[in-house]
Amino acid sequence: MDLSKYLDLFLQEGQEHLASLRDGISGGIFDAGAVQILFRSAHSLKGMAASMGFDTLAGVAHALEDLMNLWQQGGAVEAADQQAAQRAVDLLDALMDRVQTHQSDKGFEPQVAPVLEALKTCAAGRGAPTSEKTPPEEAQTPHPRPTGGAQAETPPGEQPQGEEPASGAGSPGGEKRKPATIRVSVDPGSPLAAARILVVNQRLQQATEVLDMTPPLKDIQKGNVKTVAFRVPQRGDLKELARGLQDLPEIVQVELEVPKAAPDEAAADASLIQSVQVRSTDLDALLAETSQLLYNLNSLEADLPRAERRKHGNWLDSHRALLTRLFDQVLSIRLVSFKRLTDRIERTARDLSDRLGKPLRIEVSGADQQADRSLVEKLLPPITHLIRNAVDHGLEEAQERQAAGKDPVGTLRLQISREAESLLIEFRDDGRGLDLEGIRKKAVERGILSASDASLLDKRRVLELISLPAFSTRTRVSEVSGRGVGMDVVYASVESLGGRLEMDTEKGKGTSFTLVIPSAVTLTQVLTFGWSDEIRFALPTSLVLRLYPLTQYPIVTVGNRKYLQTEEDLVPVLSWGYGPVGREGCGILLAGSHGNRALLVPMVFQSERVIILPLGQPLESIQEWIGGTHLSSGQVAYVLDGRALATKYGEVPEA
Amino acid sequence: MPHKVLIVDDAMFMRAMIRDILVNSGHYEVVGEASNGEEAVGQYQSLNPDVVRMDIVMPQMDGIEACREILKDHPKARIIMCSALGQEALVIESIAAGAKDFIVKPFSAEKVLKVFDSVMAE
Repeated sequence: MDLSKYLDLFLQEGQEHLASLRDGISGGIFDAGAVQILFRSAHSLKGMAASMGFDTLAGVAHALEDLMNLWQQGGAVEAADQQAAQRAVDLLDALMDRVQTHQSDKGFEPQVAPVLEALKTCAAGRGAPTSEKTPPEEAQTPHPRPTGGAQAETPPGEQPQGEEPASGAGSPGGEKRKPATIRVSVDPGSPLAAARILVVNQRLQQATEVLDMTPPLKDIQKGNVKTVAFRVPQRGDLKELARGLQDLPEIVQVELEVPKAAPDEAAADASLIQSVQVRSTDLDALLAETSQLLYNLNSLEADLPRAERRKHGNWLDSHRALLTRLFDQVLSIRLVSFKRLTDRIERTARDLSDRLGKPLRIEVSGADQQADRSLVEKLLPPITHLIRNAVDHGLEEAQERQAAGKDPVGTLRLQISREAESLLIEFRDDGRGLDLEGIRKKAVERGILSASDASLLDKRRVLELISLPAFSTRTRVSEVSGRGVGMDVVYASVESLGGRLEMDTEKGKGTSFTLVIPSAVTLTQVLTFGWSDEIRFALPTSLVLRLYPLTQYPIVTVGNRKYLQTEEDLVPVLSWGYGPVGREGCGILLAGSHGNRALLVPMVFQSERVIILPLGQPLESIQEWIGGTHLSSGQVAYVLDGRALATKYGEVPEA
Repeated sequence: MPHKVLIVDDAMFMRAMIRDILVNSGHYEVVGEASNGEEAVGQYQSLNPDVVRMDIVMPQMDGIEACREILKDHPKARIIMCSALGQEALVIESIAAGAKDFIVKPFSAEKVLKVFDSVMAE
């Protein structure tokens, strides 16, 4: 927090309080009213100094305040007290001057200790401790109140203990369920832990009934208790309640313990206290070994002669079912929710909003969707980039928005959902939309297209131009989102995940980006094909748009390019393969960044569910290979990234 | 819609600091300021804010008293007490009297907003 702008105010008001202290103490009149004023001045000075970070000043003011607090409780103010107070005020004076000239209260350390000593001695002499930790009894006596008004009420901690658990008879179903325990831990750095616990207590009282609190409030005030156990009746959604408590300020941990009344009561709530930390490398190893088990089983089955296979059919099937379940469970351990990603995104958005002075709100839905942890992590950079772009370039300044009749506060919306085997991550802003004309112009300028071609492009193709490297319509380099080269990085990230990026924009209304990422949480369905029994490949079926048997669909040559002639279109053929493809082959239609392409293959085998394993170096660097897999036949097949393939090998040279 | 806040503190300096933190967050709007408990009660009546940030130690009617007075007529009022270190008993008393939460000096913008957001979320 930048405190320098408050310095003048601080000095002005601080000097006033200091003056009041000086006059009051040297004046020598210490009736109730006068002392009250002195106490308040010291108190205010302490608070202000603490807020500004002037700890030394605050410390001296605090000690002085403590002494004056005791003065308020009656008894004559001795000469020694006066002297100690006077010295303290002198020191405060010097410290204030220091702040004025040096903006700091450091440099007086040697003088501080004796002053504090003197104040403490006087306070001790009056027979009561300083107010560091207020003993519980004091809660009942009037802690100095400027009005000297009403007595304090009985410490609230007592109340819950006096209550009878009336819930027993009244709970639904009439069963006597044992109460649950919610253990709440307060941040060890919290200065007023007991008060914090009390706030939690009040919240709980509103939501349910607090049967008792251990340790009781009095003991917490005595100090150093940071965890409290509340007993509440087993009613309602306790998990939701515990989660709500975790969101409260200064609460670091909430544990919910629900005692099992009957054997059929599931300990589902144990999830809050039973989590373990696992290294992700261990998880990877677990996954690899589990998939090896499945593969071994498949191999065994393939090797068995048919008769044997039939004889042991049941065993093989049940075993496969068990292993598949095991594999699914291991995969699910790797599942994490998107919340970690959306939390960071929200922070980034707020940060950018502050930095750029553009008020915005960010709405997130679907953060509880789950996906493999590495996938969620890999999505962070591209989505962060989209946010940066949106706030930096997409959203207009508040005034401009208002002038256009829009809500001056911009809205960013991030939605995560699932559709079949894909994850859909949709990000939209309600900003000015992408400048399609500008993009067209830039493409012509950069020599990517001729002017006449550029004017023929429809919106979708213009948007696709953005994916080209170093394409940017911004002439000024913004420190927030860089040169605009980011979009091709976003595309590359999405493609490396085997996904695709869809965009839409409307001038004045905003832009939307949808990342479609194949993310099977169990085995992946793939289509296998190849050039021979030994040379096999696989493609996730979610990427395969259609199959065209070459007996029915011809290959034609236009210029020096080959095309697959379908009912609607001439689809460019990919220049990728392991040998010639004859008429018995097949065209596999894939979607690439720049349009659909046809992959010609001689043999298509079948569709099956497999586990895709990472290839490891150096094969991992081959962009179009997602991984490898053991097919049910036992062979190894390389799984291809259909989109990357279609994009990389689908270049259509200029006519 | 930003939430309406009434800031109560006898130090102008403190009011300025809190005001800045709240307004900069974009979610809060300061509709009134009072420098003692009595003024606070009056202001609450006329402004009907969404939340009050109340200092405890003040002349003419302290924060706890003001808290009680306001809650008498407006039992659902959201009052956040502000105290300095060493005042735990007073804070406890105010929570028992019906204040929803508290902040402690010295405070950071983050901590203040966390408490405010938490109170408004309820």
